[in-house]
Amino acid sequence: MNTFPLLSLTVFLPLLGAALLLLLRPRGRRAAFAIGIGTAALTLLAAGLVWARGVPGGFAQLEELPWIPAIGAAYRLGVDGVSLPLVLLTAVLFLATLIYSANTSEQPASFVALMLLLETACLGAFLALDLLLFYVFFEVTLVGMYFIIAGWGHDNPKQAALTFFIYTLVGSLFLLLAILALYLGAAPHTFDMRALLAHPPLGGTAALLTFGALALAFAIKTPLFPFHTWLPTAHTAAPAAGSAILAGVLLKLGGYGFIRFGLQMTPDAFRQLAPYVLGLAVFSAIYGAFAALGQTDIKRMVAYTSVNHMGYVVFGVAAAALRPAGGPFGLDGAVLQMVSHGIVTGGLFLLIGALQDRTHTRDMGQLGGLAPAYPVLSGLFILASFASLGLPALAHFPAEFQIFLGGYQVAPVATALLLVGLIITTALYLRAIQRVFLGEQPAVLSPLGDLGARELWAIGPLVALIVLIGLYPEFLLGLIHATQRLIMAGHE
Amino acid sequence: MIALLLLAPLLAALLIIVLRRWPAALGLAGSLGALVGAAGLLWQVRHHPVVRFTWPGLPGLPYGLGATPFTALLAVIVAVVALLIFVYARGYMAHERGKVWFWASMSLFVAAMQLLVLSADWLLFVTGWELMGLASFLLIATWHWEEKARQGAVNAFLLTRFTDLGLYLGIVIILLQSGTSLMQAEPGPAIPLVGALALLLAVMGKSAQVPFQSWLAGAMAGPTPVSALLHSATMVAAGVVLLLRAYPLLPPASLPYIGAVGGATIVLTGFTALCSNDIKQLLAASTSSQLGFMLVALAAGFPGAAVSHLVAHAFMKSGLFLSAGLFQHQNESTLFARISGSGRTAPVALAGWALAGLALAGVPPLVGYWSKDAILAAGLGAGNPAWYFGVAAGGALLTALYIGRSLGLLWRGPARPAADAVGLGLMRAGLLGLVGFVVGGGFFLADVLRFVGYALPEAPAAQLTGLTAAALGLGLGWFLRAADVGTPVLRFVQDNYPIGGGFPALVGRPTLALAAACGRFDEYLHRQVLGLGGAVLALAGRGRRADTRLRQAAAGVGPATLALAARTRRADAGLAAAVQGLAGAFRRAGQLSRPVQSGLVHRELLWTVLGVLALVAALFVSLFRWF
Repeated sequence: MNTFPLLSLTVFLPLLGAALLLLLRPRGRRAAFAIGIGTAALTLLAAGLVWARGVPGGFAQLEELPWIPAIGAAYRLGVDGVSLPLVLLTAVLFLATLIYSANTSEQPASFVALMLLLETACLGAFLALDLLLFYVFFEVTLVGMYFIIAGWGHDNPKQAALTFFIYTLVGSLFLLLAILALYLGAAPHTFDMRALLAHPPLGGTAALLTFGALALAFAIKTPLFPFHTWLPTAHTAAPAAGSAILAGVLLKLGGYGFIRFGLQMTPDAFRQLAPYVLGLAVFSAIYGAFAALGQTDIKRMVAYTSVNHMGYVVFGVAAAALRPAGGPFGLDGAVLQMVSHGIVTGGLFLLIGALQDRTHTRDMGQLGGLAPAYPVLSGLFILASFASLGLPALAHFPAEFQIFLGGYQVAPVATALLLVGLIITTALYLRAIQRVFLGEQPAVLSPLGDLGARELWAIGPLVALIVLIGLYPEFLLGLIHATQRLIMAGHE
Repeated sequence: MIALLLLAPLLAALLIIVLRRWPAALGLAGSLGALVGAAGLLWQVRHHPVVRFTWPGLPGLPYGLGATPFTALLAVIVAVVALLIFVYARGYMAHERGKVWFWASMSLFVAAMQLLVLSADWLLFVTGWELMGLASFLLIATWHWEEKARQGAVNAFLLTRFTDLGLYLGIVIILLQSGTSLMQAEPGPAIPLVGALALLLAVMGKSAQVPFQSWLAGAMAGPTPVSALLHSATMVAAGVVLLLRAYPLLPPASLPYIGAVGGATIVLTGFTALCSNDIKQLLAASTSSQLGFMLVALAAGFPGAAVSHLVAHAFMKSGLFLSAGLFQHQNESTLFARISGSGRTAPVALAGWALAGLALAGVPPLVGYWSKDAILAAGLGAGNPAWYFGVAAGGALLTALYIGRSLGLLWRGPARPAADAVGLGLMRAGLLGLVGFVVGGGFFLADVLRFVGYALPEAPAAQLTGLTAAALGLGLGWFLRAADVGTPVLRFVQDNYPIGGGFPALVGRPTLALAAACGRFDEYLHRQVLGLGGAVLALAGRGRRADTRLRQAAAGVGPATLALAARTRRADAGLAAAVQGLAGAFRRAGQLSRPVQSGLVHRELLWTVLGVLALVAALFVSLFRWF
């Protein structure tokens, strides 16, 4: 049973669904989404089976096929405690967003097919153990998201998609350069990530330059200041499902890249430059929080909080890079923070979509008193907001607290500064809750009423996960911690 | 027992939210369950000194729950006070809007406080601490259609969360030093001064010490039972519980800071209470002042005195609030100008106010007499008695003064019609229950404290000073008139010393201005990037450079794929057709967005899609060959 290529099945199930859609070309919305939701559910099941089969710490469930032997590229997949939580996150979020967007009336079949293609790309990027394969999947995520924004967005999707395209293309270019450097540095030349992880090939200036290229590529994706301006623009234009995926999954490719490439393939260079990365991460986190506080559009506000939360992720990874022997908390926290942020922000964007369907505006100045009008929608939004501002017993706290612990060991002052971000996010969420949800009920209510079954099925599980991760983070942390120890041990 | 104690109020909160009916009954049931659990726990702990169990939290940092005789006693007190306030609230809220919101938050609040009391590790401690903050935010905002309530709720949470950063920092320091999250029975070496000061910051916020006392005044916008709960056994008490927990770890150098904060709060907020023209604002200021006493006792090195005042104050202050709520229901106001004289027509409310107030002023044999004496004795026993004893004695005098003044104001003045509100019986029942503890508790205080392991300091000089201060203050206070509004100094004291405009002007507005500036700067940055991108694209359009790069990428993967496909010899016509179909469909998907998105970028993207798709399809083919 253990030879069954479960990872490949997980990765390509969504693509199969997309192919099915394009071959059958269902006319109706229901049929298209039935196929889409069914496929996403099966993918989640497959990801669950990967988890059930066991991930001891190092790369497990390896699959390898020759691809282009002449240059040492192969189809290589594998999973460890860093990638599995992100794979599970991806599977959960795509299922939730497909359920959520089941009322899309415009070209439903194409939308579902694109979403499924995007899911395959994301899963593939997290599971690929070959540089070339990773690069391919990484690029496809860009393409899929470009079409979702441009085709199903609102306001000004052309400009937003264009910005997204420019930025990420630049990032990809640097990623490609770094990949080539790693390939050429290895002896014998190989794209096998496991070989590159076990024996980081580069040293000296070459390593520094390569790390610089990697850091730039992933700083755009994560995103860190000043490479983040594509993010609010893309979110403002993207449909709710697109925003949830963009913030929930695609940004994680940046954090994942910092760990898998920066920390594991160029560890010495990362250690040397870690103080700068730490500084940039702190500044980015605080700047993101302040910029979010300055918004009036609630969706833009949540988009900017991603800059804040992902700054914590990079901070945690950089803290781990700085202190290989002692600091277990930073890396544990960073990986968990990615999962928490995916669930919480994904949920928030879906809730904002539901809000916009009812109020037809996202301007906080024009909203008010929604709590008595839509109690379930408001209650869930308030819960997710408090999760996002890091309230204990909800998803972000265990992650952020570990990042603080790990950070304080290596950079107490920077950590104390990072704490300032917490109070600013608190302020901005309280302000949003006060303006949008509290107050006297508006005179005219939407005929949609409170959250319907479709929305509850999409958002409810995410909220349940927010509480579960908050109360019992061990179910993911056990997994992450085992791998983290191996990474740190290989580091000394 | 611990499970019952924690889960009963939590389940009540969840059921109220889910069912949206019978909120008061469910809340009361949860509260009763918690009391049963707490009593059972106290009984359990009587035989086995410490009950403790742990389970995995963060890696290497387990969660733990446990009870010592002291924490079990605290749990019982929280449960008793909460239950009596709940009974009162059943009457108070009978005709108010927002019952579901109110009762769910009240139950959550009690569960959070019990979690904090019973936590045996720092992670659960901070969880209870912050959940209580969330619940208080919701409770203060119960009547959120009033601007005052919204603003009060936001201010309370924001200010306490700011100081909570100190708790985070302090706990990080403690955890890294001790290597575990569990609170140790045998304290390790003292933490560095910066850690102690960080914890002190958290205490100052939660216990409303100077200069963070103003959130308590804003919190008065919530229903009165909320204030009663917040100000007695929960919320503000959490700060003192934190100091008691951390006490064995505090370096001696940190104690003078704690004493200074407590002393300044006693005096400054004591004057605010004395000048107040609103009965609830008087109580708010008085709460800060009384918690200052506890900090002073701790800093003097007598945690037993602090505990005794914590216990006594829980009953006294909740009793005072409940009678204030009765006056409020009678007159629809909490301003002294509107309620003065109503004591004569509301005998139960006045009796409750008088007994709890006299206890607070330190009149024997009420419970406050014993605890205040203990604090005065602690001041005498401190390393620096002139300061500690002096400030405690001055505080005792101030307390007696503002209580005497309030009694005079409630008694004199025009006769007001008696209250005729529904639910009055339940409100009175809750009040009388609390007053019973105020009257009778003093006789058991010392024994109870000895049972949980704390000694009460005693000194004849302290008793004499306390009695003199009480008599003098009450006598003088009776004749103080309602403060005449108008003099700027008086306003300044009443408004909690808003130096330079207070937090809104000093912190709030600059922060928002900075945030707006960041927002504007970000738009500027974005425009720059767009300009750059546009220029590059224009160049690319003419020079075809972007084209070349993209085509190279596509061309690079294309031949490789074809080569692979040729090698596999399995890429039969059917699969090829499928690939073609896929590609065609994606082209159609692209055409869909063509009206929106025309031109160069679009075409190149499509090429990329096709190239990548072909690549992925080839992978598929090789996958099939494998089986």
